[in-house]
Amino acid sequence: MLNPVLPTITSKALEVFNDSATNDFNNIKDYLVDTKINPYKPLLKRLEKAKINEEIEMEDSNLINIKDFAKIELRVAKIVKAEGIEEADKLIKLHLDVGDLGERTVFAGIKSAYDPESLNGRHVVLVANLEPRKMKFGVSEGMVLASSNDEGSIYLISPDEGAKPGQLVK
Amino acid sequence: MKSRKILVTSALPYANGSIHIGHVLESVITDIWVRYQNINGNECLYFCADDTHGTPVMLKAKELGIDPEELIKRTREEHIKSYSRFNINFDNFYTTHSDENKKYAEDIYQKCKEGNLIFKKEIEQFYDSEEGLFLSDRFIKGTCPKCGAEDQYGDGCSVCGTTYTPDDLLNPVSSLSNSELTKKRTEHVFFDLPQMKDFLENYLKDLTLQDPIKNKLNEWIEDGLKPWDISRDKPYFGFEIPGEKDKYFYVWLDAPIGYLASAKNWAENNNMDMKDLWGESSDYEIHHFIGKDIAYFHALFWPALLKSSNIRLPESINVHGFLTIDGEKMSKSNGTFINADDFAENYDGELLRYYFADKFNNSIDDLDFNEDEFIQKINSDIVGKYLNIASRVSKFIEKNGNNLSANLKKRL
Repeated sequence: MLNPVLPTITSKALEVFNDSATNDFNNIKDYLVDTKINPYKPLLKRLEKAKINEEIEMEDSNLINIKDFAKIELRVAKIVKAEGIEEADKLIKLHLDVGDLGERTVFAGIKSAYDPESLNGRHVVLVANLEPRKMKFGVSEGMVLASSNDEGSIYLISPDEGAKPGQLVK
Repeated sequence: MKSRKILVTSALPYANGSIHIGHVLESVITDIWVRYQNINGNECLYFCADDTHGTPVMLKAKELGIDPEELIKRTREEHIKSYSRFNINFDNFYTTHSDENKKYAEDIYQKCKEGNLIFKKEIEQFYDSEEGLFLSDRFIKGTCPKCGAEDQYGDGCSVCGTTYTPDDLLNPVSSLSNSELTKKRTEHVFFDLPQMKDFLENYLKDLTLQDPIKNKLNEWIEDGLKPWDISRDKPYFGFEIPGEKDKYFYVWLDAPIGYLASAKNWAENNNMDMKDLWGESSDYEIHHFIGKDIAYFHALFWPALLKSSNIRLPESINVHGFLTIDGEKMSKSNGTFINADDFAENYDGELLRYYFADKFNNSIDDLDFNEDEFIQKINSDIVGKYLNIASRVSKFIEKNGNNLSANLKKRL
């Protein structure tokens, strides 16, 4: 009777009876007697929850996978020299030592929170494989990571003591 | 019992997106019915197709940078594959963008014209001059005149539920270009539905259709039928209207005709004369399975078109409610949207058939899918009962050398 609903499972179930049973409603025999049947094989395992919707929610949000994250090359960098740019209210020009990667120049919008001189010698985290961007005052070769809040306060991200310029962050 | 010949259709999925489990619900209940008829000694054929015409397909193809023809070809392959994962056994899953459909649409239009059921009238319509496109209600956004909710579609407010026309909307803009809209006059082709009032009233009496829907349709008829706008202006993806310039058949004209085209295509491939399958007075009963949102098209426009062309009318329209997920309307933004393929990646599609069959009835109320309930039902009914009994019994039979007893009263 379940065949229209579960065509595959019921067909497999019928295989147990060789050809002596049928799906055809008009040819159903009264009883199946004295018949050799095949051993029963399990037709279905208990279902475990797969959480379809959670996967979908993840697709819809901004989640990325590990491969996406691995695309970003983060490195420790040491600020060799930081200079304010007079014509720009927000920008500080940073000269960075990135170890084996050499020196980089990065323009960072942190002037409102930091005095350039206080930055000299500080370690920061650099996005090393960001496309270079041409700006009014020169080419910016990456980006340093900082956190900011709604009021405009800016907090540079630094590694713990001991991290060397050029080291990968992951 | 004399065996019946039956032709069955389910509604055509639209070709700008994937199959979701709401589509699956409809195809499952249809397929179960078809399979039941066939193993019961009747001959039952199941036809469907992709609904391929209209502005959304045109825009989606543009977005992807491909021709609409390429888009609908890809979508059809994808749809066929998705349905097969739920063991939907179509005799033909065709497309409305076919020679057969074009011919039927043109022939039916011609017959309507000969029956004086076609007229032309100039109307005023919103026009997006940036996109160079006349816009239907769904492509117009603005502020709800009743509750003031912003970003509402031109046909109704999703916040307060008021229905209206784009004219009522405050600050209407195009949802495509966000530009302000202008009104432009254009001549449209109409099907004179009011002429069919008597026919439709009588037809509805004999039609097998759930009462709440029938009552609603009769209300509409009593309130006065309106002529049906069956043309759309260029640019549009569809069939050009013969004898008109830059005018296309509205997608809802040729979509149900797609049932005929799908059957015709099957008949040709199976050496059968369409006259005998679905002609003026063929032997096959015709049964449609549809969702409640498109009852208007199937129980009023569609029989009116068939009648005016002397094509056999359906005897039943089986209407079902929508599928909700965890009690919520299916929606991508709420995370309550389940693609058919996503479901089939996680569970055997066949099991969803059981769940739907278990919950489904003749009412037009919405039906809810809940993943926990689904798992519980499958584990308790199929695994815990049917298969568990089979497994236990098989152990006894095994002791008897896998031989069923010759004597029902004899103890093993």
